[in-house]
Amino acid sequence: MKLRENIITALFVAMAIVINIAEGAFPMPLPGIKLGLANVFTLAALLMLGTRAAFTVTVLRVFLVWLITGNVFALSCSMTGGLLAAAVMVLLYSKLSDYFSVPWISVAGAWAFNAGQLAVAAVFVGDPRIVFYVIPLFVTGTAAGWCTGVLAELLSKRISLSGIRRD
Amino acid sequence: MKRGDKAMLSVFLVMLVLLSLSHLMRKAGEPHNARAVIFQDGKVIRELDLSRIPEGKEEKLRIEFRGGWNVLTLKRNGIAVTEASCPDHDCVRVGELTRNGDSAVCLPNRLSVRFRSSHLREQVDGVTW
Repeated sequence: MKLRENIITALFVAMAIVINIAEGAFPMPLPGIKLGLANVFTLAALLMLGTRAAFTVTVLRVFLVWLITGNVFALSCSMTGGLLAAAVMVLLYSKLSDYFSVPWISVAGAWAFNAGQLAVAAVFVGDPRIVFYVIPLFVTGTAAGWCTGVLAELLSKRISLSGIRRD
Repeated sequence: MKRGDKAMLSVFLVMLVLLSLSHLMRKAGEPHNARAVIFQDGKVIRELDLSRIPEGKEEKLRIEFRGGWNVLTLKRNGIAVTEASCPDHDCVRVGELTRNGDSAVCLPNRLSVRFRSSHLREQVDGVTW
């Protein structure tokens, strides 16, 4: 059902925005590192509704968070990273899900996000040596991505059990 | 675990080992001949000799960029970005740079500060940075 899909997409966008902004309030040991909990909703949208919804949730979330926070640099990093992450997760989930389980698809998304984020940072700073920062980013991204993947899988199962999922 | 999962797990473990190694190698020793290199917009704009600053003293340096600014605090054995005009203050939160290869980056003002000390330089530069 089209209407149900739209409503769930909108709810996911709303929740992702709140979580995105809330997690910004937690101090992190290194710059550029965060839990990426908003990714739960991109992935859950992919699992429940498909490719288009996953991209919709990502783009709307990043854009609306920017309207609220006004941080252009976060916007550039998140938009590049978020779109790359969504593309990688869509590809792995739709074509290669025999080889990858959901938590690790989420990790792949986290890596793609980190790579995109860092590429943008390197362009802004004009210092390509910043790419070595990829190692701490990937290590923390793996842990965070795996956790958000498990959450997204749980979320998509629970919601389908309670009968909201399209038939 | 599926096959691709295992491949990704091994990539992760390799990265984890690299990260731990780079941390171990950067721990040792007091900085000698401390210097800082300031990049703006990809170019070196200042090279500061920190070892000339007397022990216990500090100096401030303000750097402007297209209406934005950062304030650096220079000490004998370290350098820190202590004020910034941008909202996120990532460069300030990094704190004081005291180990060779440490760096702080401010995206909005295209600024990057890199700490150098000759003591460990050869060993460390070869490994990760």
